[in-house]
Amino acid sequence: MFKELDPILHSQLRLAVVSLLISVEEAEFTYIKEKTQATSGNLSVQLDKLKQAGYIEVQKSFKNNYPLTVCKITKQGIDAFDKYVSDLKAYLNPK
Amino acid sequence: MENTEKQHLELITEIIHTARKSFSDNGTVYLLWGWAVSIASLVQFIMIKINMLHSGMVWAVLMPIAGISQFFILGRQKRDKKVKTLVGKILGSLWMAFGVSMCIVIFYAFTGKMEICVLPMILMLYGIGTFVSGVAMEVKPMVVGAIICWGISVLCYFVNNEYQLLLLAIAVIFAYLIPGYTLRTRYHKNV
Repeated sequence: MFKELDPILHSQLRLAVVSLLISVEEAEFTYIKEKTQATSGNLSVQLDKLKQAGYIEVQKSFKNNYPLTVCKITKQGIDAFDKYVSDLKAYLNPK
Repeated sequence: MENTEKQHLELITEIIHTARKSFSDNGTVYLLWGWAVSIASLVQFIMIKINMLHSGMVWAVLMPIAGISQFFILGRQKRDKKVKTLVGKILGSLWMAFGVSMCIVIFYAFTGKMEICVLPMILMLYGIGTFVSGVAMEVKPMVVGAIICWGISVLCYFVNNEYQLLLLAIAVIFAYLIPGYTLRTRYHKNV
């Protein structure tokens, strides 16, 4: 019997964002956009979903008079990512 | 369906690999201190050789200039940085610890209580900073530079103070200048 994969992470862009944030301390919106090659609109929607799930923290401020969005993974996000990776492995290599 | 799962695992691996490369130092601070320290030590060596007085003044002039320049360079780098990494955080605190330790050594040097071993102590600290940075950033010339610093630190035991200055210049070329240019080349390749 396969474990159900986390639907929040089972989306290409949200998974890419979480994988990126798990490897760094924190990242600006522009950096995530550049690395995931997503559009601003789509990325904003997906970041919002991850934030609502409690997987990431989003801080909005200003830098040189421009809006600045900084994202950081939460403990809950790290745990969900770990579980997602082990579930994926179990899915691909069933015993 | 299984293909999607495979793709997701590949995506995770690829993104993590990309993020690991996010820490990129352009080497400017290493080059700044590399040039400042090598020029200061060579100028002081020449001044001693031609019997000029107050040869130590070269340090009093060049080091504050380098320090102030570093302050502005780091400020600009911080402003332009779009991502914070753990490696960056650790290296930042390492060099801060290095700065504090250097101030303690320089304080003792000014009191005249450890005049003979000031440069070996400084070289030992250079070794620590560059070794850890070299390993963390995967810059081999920096690791080699650190080992050279430690070697030269021991070698200082056999030479007098003025020739220790020449050894310091050599150490800094290997520990700061060569790795600084390596970092600069790597940075421009990645951008």
